[in-house]
Amino acid sequence: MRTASLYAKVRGGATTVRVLFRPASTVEAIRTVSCTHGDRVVFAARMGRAMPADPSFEFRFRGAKPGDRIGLAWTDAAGASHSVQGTVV
Amino acid sequence: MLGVLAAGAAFAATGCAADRRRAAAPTSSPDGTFPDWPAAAFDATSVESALTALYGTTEVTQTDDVVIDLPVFAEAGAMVPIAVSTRLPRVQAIHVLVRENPAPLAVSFAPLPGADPLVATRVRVERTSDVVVCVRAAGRLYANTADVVVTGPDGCAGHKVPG
Repeated sequence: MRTASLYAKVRGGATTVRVLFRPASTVEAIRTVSCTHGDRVVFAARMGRAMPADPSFEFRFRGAKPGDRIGLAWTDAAGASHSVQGTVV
Repeated sequence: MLGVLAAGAAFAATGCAADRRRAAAPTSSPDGTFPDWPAAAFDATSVESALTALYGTTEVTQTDDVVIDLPVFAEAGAMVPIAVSTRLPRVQAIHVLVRENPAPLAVSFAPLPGADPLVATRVRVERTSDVVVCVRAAGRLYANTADVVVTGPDGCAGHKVPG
């Protein structure tokens, strides 16, 4: 089971999000990664083979406030879906 | 071939369609933005064929409005940090391609409404290479290039030791 960490911090009206995947015990590569704020998708990535097994991303979006929940979802090459939740600070 | 074109067209349409699609029925992908994973682009063995798989064209405008932050040197085998941002308006997609990798297209991003067109990540650079960042904005392709020198274990930058 691959796990990931999600950090999000508001500063100056923009929320910076850092996504860190842990090295996997399985060999399936991650193919898609997305983040949501409420019902809104704020980040979407599609990954090829030149990405590490434990990728990291940092991105920024607007419209969140401390205490909001954000979600991280990803799928792997075997078609399995995973998700974790985080809170904006 | 039809599949290739369909995937490319779908990807190209992502930026403009994301707004409309948010309220629509969910697709197979969890974020509902890309209908699929553009396999033909990720399997492509050159920068040009990856762009052709995505957009059906290799016509790009070189611009410094695509800003790439990439180290000058990286250790062999290391995951090289890269940060990308752009001042271009109406960004629909950002692609990172490592020219000397066997499969150059490393990662594609779709900046969504409310998100700033910048992202930082790490990519595998197998040997000294240009890194091309291609941005789809307002229906056109723009690109900028940076290069990273991958140093061997002996620190012999850019030179291949025989044997």
